[in-house]
Amino acid sequence: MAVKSDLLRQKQGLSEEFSYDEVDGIPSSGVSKWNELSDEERLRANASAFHSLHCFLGIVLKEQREDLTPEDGEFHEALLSLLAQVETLAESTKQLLLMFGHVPPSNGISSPEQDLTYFKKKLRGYKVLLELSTWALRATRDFTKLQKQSTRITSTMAAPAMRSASRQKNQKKRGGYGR
Amino acid sequence: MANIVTSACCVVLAAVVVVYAQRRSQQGARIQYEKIGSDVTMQCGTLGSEASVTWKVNGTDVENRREDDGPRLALKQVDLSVNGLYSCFQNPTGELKDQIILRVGNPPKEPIVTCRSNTYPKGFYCSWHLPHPTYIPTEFEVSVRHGLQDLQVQKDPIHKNRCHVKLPEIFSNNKYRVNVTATNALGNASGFLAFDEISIVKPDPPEKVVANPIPGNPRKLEVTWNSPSTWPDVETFPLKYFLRYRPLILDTWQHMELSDSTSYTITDAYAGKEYIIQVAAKDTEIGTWSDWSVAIHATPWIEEPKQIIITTTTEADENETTPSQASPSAKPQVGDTLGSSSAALTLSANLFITCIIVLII
Repeated sequence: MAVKSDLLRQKQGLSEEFSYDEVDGIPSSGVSKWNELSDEERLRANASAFHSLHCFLGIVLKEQREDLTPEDGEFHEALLSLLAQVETLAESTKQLLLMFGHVPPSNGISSPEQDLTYFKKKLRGYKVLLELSTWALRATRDFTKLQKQSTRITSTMAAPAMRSASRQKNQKKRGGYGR
Repeated sequence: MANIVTSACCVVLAAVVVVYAQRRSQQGARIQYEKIGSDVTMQCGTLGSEASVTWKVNGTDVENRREDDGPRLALKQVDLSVNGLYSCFQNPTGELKDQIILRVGNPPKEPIVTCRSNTYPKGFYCSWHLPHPTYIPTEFEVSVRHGLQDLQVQKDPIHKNRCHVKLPEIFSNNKYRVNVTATNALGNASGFLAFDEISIVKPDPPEKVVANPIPGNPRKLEVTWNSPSTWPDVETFPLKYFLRYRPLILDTWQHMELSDSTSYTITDAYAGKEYIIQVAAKDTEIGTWSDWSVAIHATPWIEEPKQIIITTTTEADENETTPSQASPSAKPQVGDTLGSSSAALTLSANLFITCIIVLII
């Protein structure tokens, strides 16, 4: 995935020095005291991130279809598949939160900006996929940690979520965004 | 006894005086650094251009010096052989006027930087080296940037060309950029490396690799190992392993990839053959494989050979043995030479062996 995003970055003329702070609402997976997060914080961060990423990915797909790569049906199919997996992940995580009696994150995220320039659309699309891949990796680690330290209830529910997360990761590796 | 002590004292004292004199003569000597291949001029103190001086290098006279150079010494296209302590003495008094330590070298070229994390997710370390030697003292400055943030760098206490950095956050998409600047008296040069957090992850090899035969199983070997002790949290960041093994006599390896398990039983070993075994480790999600562990040798369990009963025979019996009985009786024969009366038996054994050889030929 990292190789594909690098390729994309080069093709779209983006410099290596780009800073990926949360500039335009895309959730950033980087976290400094990951080890010290509570179970609730972990689940909540994942639930919120995947919900938000699902939203963004929908818009990216729309922009690809209508503006950026209108001819590339195969690519759109791949994105659609990815979209479904992210939705599953978002839902599973939210369910886990509810199971533990925690409050799920509010879905009232301000809708992403729609009228971007051509270049900014490309840039945002790249960032969404990049963050999605690192969030998927983080989710895998989060669920591993939860699985190891929690009860069997977590295991039953976490397994499908984990499988979804790793499937999603592999999907992207095979070229979900290989332009 | 007293004489020895006295003479020992004298020798030590003499040595101290010599060293002190040398030190004194170098005190006030300045170091002059020059580039290899360049033309060098050394100036004798603050003497005017009319002065006449004599130059010595490391105590011996300098060859091929122009007389009209005044207080200067010119050396053309210098190489490492001109390194030394140069002293100039004013003529005709012979007074020592100046001392210069000449060191010839090169300005540094762009350092080559590599980084690795064997302690993920705690931190990483970077090493660097110069592609060409400078021959003169060179210092290094390291800076690490992560996105828009400058990170703190710890110098390695032992390795001069290594430093350690703590990871400020994980699962980050911001690239790390490590800048190394090499500086010496002749110039400076910078090199850098930019990388993603996950691309530099490479654990140390597995430790305490042990292979044991399994009694009763001539084709099995039980291999166990430990995760590398430098990997901080193998529970949350599990490792997967790669095992390779081959009999010593063959060149091709057999491979086995294992997830989350620190033992494996080889079940297809060739009976009685010595094996060489190695294991490597990798994080289950990111990074690259470690180097191979130290190779260990092991042989599967071998069944105890059955006891062969050796019957002792007398001299007379041995002399009568025919060639056709040679092979089966060879062993017992040899065994016999150990027991009985030596000389005659040895002789008959030799005769016997000679007969065999003759027959074979």
